[in-house]
Amino acid sequence: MRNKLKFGDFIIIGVVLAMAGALAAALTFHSSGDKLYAEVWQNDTLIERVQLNDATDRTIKLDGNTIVLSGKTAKMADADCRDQVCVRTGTLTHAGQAAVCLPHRVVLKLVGVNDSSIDAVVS
Amino acid sequence: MKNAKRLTLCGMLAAVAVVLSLVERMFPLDAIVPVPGVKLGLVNVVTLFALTRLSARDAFAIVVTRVAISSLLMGSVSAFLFSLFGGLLSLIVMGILLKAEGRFCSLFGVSVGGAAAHNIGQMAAAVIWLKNWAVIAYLPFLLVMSVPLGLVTGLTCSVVLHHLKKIDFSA
Amino acid sequence: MKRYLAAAMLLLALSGCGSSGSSTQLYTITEDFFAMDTYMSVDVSSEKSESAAEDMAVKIEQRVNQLDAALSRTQQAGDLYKLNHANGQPTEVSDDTYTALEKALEYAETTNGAFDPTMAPLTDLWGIGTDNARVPAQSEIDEALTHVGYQNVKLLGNNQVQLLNGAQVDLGGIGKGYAGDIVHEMVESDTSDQWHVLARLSGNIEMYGGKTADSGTDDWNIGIADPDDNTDSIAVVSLRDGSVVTSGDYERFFEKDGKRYHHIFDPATGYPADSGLRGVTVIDSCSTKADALTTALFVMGLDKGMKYCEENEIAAVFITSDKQVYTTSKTGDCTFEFLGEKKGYTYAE
Repeated sequence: MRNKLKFGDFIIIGVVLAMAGALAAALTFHSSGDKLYAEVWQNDTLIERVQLNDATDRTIKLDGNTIVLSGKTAKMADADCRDQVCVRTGTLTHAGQAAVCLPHRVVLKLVGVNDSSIDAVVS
Repeated sequence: MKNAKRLTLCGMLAAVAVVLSLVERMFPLDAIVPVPGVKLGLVNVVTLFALTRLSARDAFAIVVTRVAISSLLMGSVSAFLFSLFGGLLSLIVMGILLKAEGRFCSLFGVSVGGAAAHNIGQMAAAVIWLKNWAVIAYLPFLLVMSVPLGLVTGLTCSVVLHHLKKIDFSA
Repeated sequence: MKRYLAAAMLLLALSGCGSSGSSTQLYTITEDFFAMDTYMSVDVSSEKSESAAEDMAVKIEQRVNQLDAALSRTQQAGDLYKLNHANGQPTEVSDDTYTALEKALEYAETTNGAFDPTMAPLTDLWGIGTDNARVPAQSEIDEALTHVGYQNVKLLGNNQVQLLNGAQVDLGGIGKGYAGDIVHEMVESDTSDQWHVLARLSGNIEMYGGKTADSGTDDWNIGIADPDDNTDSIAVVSLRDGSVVTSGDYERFFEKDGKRYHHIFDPATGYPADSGLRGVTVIDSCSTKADALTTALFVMGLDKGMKYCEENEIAAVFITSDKQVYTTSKTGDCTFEFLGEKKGYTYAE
């Protein structure tokens, strides 16, 4: 009878499973999918690019604008301009969102893979 | 074996392989691996059988014919490439493992190795064709799947071979 | 062996004639820039290459900047600036300015002046969104109102325009919508590639070609912002092509003595429209029309606005100040999903 598992079969099965495991581990470790960055632009120049994670806690002070990065969120906490549109934009939580200060030409945006089902918000 | 008989057998096996490809389509693999054209690899049964009873050359011919015909019947360019890469890589790996069959391992090991190679091959084709590394993420799942699937194809093949022993093939 | 290879090649060539793969790869470029006094962000996807997407994105940015010059009140080299400073003399303007003016007047007429492109003297008086925002005296408002009226804009043909009665034109109400239509036209007329475009032009979202190349999963999902928290949505509309435009009292405003004065003026009173609405969203294939209509519907208020939409087959979403959300019976080619329950909104069907 041929249909009996031999020692080598287990080795082959083991190698296949090990490959699957190693690849899965490498992918989770290396996954770029859930990486989220906050970018701060002023006058079309990138001033700051910060990778956000749960422990992020940082305040970036610009001339006229204060940006607070907290966990995987970012917001324009303060602006010395009249319209306050950027401050009222609120807290950014998904890639693709942006808070914009027109008077100072400052853009705070989240960059990464958009994990929300919404492609754009009209306001 | 006489040439005409060999040719007939090749044709028959290719036909069986095409039917198996069609059967394979019925598995809703798309729900788990959303890359159109990716298959489980049931057809490896035919390749394995051809490798053991015929020659590597004939097995190669059967794989190419099967891939071409099944793609013409229902496939797309992507499905063609996935099947071709998967089929050929599986053929190569099983051909090598068969040399050690009997001493080191059994047909089970050979077909598990072939199933794994089939999945690696088709995902490699997917990466090249879609120019997108992200599809690699489905490979671990497919590799794990290739173990039970390989065992099933190995069992099928050994049962068939066992019965065939009773018929004089080379007459 | 050679025969097998030849056969394989032949079959590969043949199978290429069949259905091609359904998962077409898209190459996406996002271009963001300041134009028309706002921040814009355009996603362009090509089915061919990244450089094709990049080229198109740059072309779009350049075209929008060109439109900005033609439609801006403040760019001194621009046509609209020239027209507004011609002291009532007939002035020749570019095709863009002329076409935009034609459209503005058309929508002013169909909305009975609820949308009016000649509100500039009033908006200047109030200064909302600037450092000089204030509540003007009634006499000042009355004086400014004497210059307001779309009938004061005379299109004389051959790109000649004349402003009567001291009128000043402001195309801010349709400029971004007009830009949306131009972007749509640009990608539609370029058949060298299959384009997929999502343009966020401030309160205007313009879509072309679907999100993916696969039918069935190619609708874009556009959130309608919660007036009190613009990063969150109270509803989602899904569509493949066209534009979604919102006007709301939360975009630009100032508060004085506990009262909110926003930037959408009622041409009849000269005051910010007090219609019980927080925001109006219009979904239409024509972005310019949608842009003009959001303003007009906001001024009309819920009842009159709703009636207007039903009579003219307009797809719109109204958000009232008592947190009710209304949709018109026609929603066009898009699907509407209400999400505002958790935020205290009610969907009144």
